Amino acid sequence: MLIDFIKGLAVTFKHIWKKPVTFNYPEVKRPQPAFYRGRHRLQRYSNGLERCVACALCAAVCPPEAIYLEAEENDPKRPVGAGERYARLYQIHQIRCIWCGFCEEACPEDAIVMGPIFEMANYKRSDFVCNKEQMLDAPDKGFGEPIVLKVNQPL
Amino acid sequence: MTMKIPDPSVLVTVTVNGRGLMLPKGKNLLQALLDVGHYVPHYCYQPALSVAGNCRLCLVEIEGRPKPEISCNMVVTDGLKIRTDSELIDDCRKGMMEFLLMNHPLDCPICDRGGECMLQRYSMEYGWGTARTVDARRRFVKPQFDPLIDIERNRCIMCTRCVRFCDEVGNDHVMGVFGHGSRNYIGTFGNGPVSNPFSGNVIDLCPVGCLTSKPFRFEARPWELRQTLTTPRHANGIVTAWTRGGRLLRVTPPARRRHGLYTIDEDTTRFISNEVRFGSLYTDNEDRLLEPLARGKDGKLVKSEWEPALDRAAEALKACKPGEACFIAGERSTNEEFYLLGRLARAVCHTPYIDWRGRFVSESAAQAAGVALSASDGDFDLLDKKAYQAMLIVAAGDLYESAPDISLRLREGARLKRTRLGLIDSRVNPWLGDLAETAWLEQPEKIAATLIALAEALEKGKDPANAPQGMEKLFKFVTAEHGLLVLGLDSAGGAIAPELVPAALRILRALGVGWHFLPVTAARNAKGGFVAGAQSDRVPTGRMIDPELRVKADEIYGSAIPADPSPAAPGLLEMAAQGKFKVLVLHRCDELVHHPRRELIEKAIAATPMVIAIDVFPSWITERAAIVFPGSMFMECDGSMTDIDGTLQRMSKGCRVPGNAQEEWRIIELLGLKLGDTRRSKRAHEIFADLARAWGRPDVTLDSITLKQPGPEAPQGTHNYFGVIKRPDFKLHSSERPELAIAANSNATSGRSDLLTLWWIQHSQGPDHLGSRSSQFDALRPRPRVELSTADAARLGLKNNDWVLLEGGSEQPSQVLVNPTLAEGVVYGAANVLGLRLADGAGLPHVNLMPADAPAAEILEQEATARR
Repeated sequence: MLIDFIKGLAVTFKHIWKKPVTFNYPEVKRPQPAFYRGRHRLQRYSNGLERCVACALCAAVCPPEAIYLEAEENDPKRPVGAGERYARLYQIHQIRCIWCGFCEEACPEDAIVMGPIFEMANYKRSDFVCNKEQMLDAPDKGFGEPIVLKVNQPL
Repeated sequence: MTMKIPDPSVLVTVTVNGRGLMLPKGKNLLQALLDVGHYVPHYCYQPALSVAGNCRLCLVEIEGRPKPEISCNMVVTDGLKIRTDSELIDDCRKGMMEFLLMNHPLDCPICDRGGECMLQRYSMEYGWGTARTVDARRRFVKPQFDPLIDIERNRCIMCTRCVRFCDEVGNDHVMGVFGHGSRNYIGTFGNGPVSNPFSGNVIDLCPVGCLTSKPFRFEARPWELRQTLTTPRHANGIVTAWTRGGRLLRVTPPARRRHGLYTIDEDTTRFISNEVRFGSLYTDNEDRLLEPLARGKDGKLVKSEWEPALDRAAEALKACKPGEACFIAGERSTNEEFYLLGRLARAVCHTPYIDWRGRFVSESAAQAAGVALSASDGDFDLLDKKAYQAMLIVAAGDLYESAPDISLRLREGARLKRTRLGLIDSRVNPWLGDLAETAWLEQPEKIAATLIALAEALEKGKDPANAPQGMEKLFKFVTAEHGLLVLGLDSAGGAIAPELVPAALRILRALGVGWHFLPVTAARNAKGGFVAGAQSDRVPTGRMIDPELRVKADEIYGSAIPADPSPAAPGLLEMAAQGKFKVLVLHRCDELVHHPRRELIEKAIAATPMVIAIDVFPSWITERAAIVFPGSMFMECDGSMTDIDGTLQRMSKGCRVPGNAQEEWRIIELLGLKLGDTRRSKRAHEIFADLARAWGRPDVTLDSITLKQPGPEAPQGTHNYFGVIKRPDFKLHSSERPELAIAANSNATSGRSDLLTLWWIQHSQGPDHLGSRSSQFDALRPRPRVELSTADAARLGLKNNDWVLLEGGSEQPSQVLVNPTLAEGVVYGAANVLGLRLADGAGLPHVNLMPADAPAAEILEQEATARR
């Protein structure tokens, strides 16, 4: 019986000198893996235009119906997005979201991706509705060039 | 009186994929296969349009022939052996799909058709799955050509459905295919808009996203929408209303259910007019009444609560002695509202004064219309089933402008060779005239005389020798055994109806029982007002109020009916103008807002101490009323409508009534409760049940009229799911032709040489009370225009696009259009567009045409930009 105690303590002493696996959250934050499914991000093209064309495939595929968006025609003189239409309103309900990442899968434009942010506590339920402005990347963080097809039949 | 419906064609055996099918001989092979549920993919084939055969997707392999052939251009013959599932056919379809998709852009995420697109569907079912093309795709510049239809030429697959629709149904021939080879494109001649009033249908017909709806552009994705099968309040026709979050976004012909989902039916044969499609979007108008209004002590209309407003209205009605209250029901009320108003007037307020016929300009016209409706027994279904050999349209050609949906159903009968078409009218428009076998052009005053001349000849016998001089062709036409006589009731506000209706009844007696009678009017629920008891001389069975019935009326209303006879709505307004009423209730009187006899209505409102209005939009009538109750719009109210041929149509609720507004039937019931009535319904279904009981058909319920959705999943490719919509098989008409004695209007026949007879209509796209509230109608609004015959134009020295004033009719200048198919001595125009004012309702108005200056250039330019 005593031997068992010693065996147990030996394990304890062995781990005292090892580096702990826990983090001192919130002072220290765990680095997220690249595929981490945190709060959604809306990406941009390198020229700063939004990638989202408001096709609503993310909303269609979303199992808990957490995404709501409204489209609007893009004004070519003051474009918001790269396509013919853009999302005037893009909302994700963070309480409803089950973080499955289907929206990311469905997006034909690489517009919506799941980001590293996981701290989403709020005091009010209404604050959990995440708007487009909260999710959009900074204008200088865009990548890729929008495809501009040339008109070859001027009619 | 039974009508013989022609036998279906002889069935022959066709072997399809080794399986024997019985198909009607001589029928289009593709349609026959679709009808029995054997789906064959197709783009260019549309059941209502001619065969083009250019999509090559409906290829079938035929035994004994070296190459596959298109089934849409083949007829069913005995012993035909075809294969639709062989390797060769699969290969052909794959090849065709790849070919069609060669230049098609991959922009499904931003395409409005995405989700209900046949190209998406077929490429999943029959296509390759990947693209093999490496070259750049053809791109066209995007043009703007129609204010309501958006075009994206890159997506076009050249099925030419839109071109054929404009050629055959719209008959304006404006669309065409331009260019050649891979540079083919669809467009309109002169880049102008698609001008026919059914142009919106090309949006549904387009199997891809080339033609899309501008009002619906980017509003929602199709899978997000909720569908309601319903009928609009302001025009005829069954439609699917598509809503998202309680907001009406688009209106289409009934949707088709396929794979458990509802999509636009691009194979529909039930086309709807722009008035229905875009006019229904008046629900977006924010200028609506949302609170009850009551006139305060300072004489201003102020917002009120329901209780005090209802109390005040009930007090005023209670203070009335029997016969001091008057009810006028608008023609767009539902059957339930008509029934409740009749009940409120007769059984609760003990007044005989209730009527719906406000549209007509004179008492005799309204009475004649009532009699004509009582004799009506025509049936659109029989027309569709080829039961009528001939269809004679009398003075109703103008329905093209005033009620395009009724007009289209009549024309489709002639176009699809279901019947022969004859016309007697003062104005033949090419839309109908092109299909007419015989057309008789006559001045409005003489149409009745023409009918009588025909009747007199027919009474002598149907022998061609009896034909009156010069009318041999017309006489031969009416000697058909089975036929349909269509009579327009409200041309010129019914001014010639008093002569026309007796003449029509006389010719019908001479024609015999094989001929049916269909009086038509642009009044939406005219037949409903007649059968639901809102007509001054009828109870809710369409039965005439006679002394015997007054005693028995307990069965209908639970109380006796007042003994005095009541005039029709124009007569009631005259009485009101003389100050005979203490309370005037105007229920959804849209037609009075733009009535040419506005002076009379103004006088009637001014002379009545208490005017109670139930309406949805503010108008000059609600501004002058003492109490205004806010009603409901399209999609906010349950109920039923009666089509002009007696078919019941279900109006379904799909959205909440916003604000403090209420459904109209509820308002009428609440008013009744305040007055001591005990009627309190939870749903409109209960009111309909009472109405059905009065009709002697307690088995008919509101839900059994039209199923909310097209019911069980239709077999693939079957588009005629109308079979599941139960049509109550009861005829709401008298079995015998009534005799009619209405004093002929002496003014009508006095022709004056220097003055022109004004033949007017109410234009469905003019500033009408409901449809014009839709912002989309800015683009559709017709310009002020009068038509003149060639002879008159020459006599007066006028030519096309000259500006004239109608002295004695309107103060607004209008443009002249010379119409060679207009009777001499007649000037034709739309009253609500011209702003017509009539001093009295006696006979046809006569006007003098005065040359006028054109409006200032800025005004014209403003109008033109609004229209583009």
